[in-house]
Amino acid sequence: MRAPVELSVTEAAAAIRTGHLSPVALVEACLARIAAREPAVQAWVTVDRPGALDAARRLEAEARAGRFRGPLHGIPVGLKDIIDAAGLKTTAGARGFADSTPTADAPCVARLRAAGAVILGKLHTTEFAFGDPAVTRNPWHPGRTPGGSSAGSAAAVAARMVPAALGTQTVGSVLRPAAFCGVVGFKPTYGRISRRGVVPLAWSLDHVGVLVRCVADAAVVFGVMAGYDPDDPGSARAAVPDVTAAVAGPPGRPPRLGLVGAPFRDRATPEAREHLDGLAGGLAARGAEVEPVELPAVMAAMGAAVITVSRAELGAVHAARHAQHADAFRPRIRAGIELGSAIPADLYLHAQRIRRHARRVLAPLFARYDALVLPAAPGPAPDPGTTGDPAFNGPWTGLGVPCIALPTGLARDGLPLGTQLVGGPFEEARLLAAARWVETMVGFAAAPRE
Amino acid sequence: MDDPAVDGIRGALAAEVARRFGAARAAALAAEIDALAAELAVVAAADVPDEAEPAFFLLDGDAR
Repeated sequence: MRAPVELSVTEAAAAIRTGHLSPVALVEACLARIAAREPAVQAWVTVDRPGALDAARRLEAEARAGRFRGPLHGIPVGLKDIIDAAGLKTTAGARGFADSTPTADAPCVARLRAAGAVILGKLHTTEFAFGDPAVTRNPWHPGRTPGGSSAGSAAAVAARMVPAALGTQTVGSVLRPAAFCGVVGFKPTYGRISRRGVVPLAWSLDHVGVLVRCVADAAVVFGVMAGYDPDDPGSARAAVPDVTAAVAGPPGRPPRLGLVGAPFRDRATPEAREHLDGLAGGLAARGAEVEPVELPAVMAAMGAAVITVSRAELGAVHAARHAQHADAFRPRIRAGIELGSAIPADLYLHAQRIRRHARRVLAPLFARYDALVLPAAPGPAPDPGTTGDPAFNGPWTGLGVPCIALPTGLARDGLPLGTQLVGGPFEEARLLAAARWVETMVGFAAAPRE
Repeated sequence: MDDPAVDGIRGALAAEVARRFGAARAAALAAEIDALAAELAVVAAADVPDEAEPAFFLLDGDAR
């Protein structure tokens, strides 16, 4: 068997279930990996060593007795530090001025624990999940950003410190860091996973997502967390499909893929465009139906609509805190709050109308294609002065549709390139099946060097 | 060349920021105001049908 830290969620869970791996050994391996790599990567705000080991010992005893709580029995998971876990400080990346220590888990965390997960600790985020870069370094290159805002989550999974982590996406904060760090990032349909117990950025755009190392892991972690929460006003009642069945076994039929051009293609680097063209050709050669698609005109305004909505809601979320601590905020989020609070109501409402209209007019495309395909980011990770450009992600987040970023190659500088697949609302099973097929055909296996 | 639509939005945005946070702060945020005004102008120019209500939390079909 490979080293425990190299195992995916599904591989480790299977090894635990068959008695070939103990939950304690897996947690200890992750802790050792964190000790070795954390000085260079700086992914963790809090490592709950005693709590994780206690939980692992209980889960190990249960496993020995033949009792398994669920599909994540004994699997370590890290949490972006805007997500509450009982007894662990939530800092929201705000350097002390907004700390809280929750007494209860966020429902998404409670669901992870109920399925047997071990909460390993809290991972660095940009301040309140906005745009001021976190301290985390990209495990592939210390001089490049890991992306953001789920910086620690993507970096920790890429550096083999933990097999799965939760992130959140309001514009591009799961898929972009996933692409920059060479891991899988999955954001489901808006409302699928409760955001209660998660520090908000913009209520009508906030999603909980997952960062893992393969599509099957995204399915299993999503499947555990998804479901209606009557206490989250953004929670959807829609039935949750069996997504793990959609990605189990050998890959299914080749998917029908819509290759997205404008308005995204021109924003990608020539290298990213070349990569996507090569990927599309390769997938078509293996049996996928790949067709170029033209997006409805309203999609040209979706990026601006998402910026408008996210800024206006950011201003409202932080109005009281800003009134007390304006100087405590870092520069980008402070500017975002101040400008957001000045956005006229008519433009905020018009932006929300654009979102609804766009979702309606894109329905035929989502019916025709298993997934729309485009780069997950304009190119490989840029320098750490920013968290990168979310322009390839924001419009889809604004639609509230499920999206997944897969590592599909390496740029000439050796950094990962990510490809984004986008599905229709509540079509996670269909999207993940298509992503699994693409993942299998691509066979990406590179990892950051030590 | 300046776009009158962007100019109008920029002026209104700058005035509101100045009213809320002071003229000095509005001046310090001039570049950010320019960038946001350009995005708001795109929103303002986007055509949506009269019947398109604003999406807030749940969209069509989310309660199915």
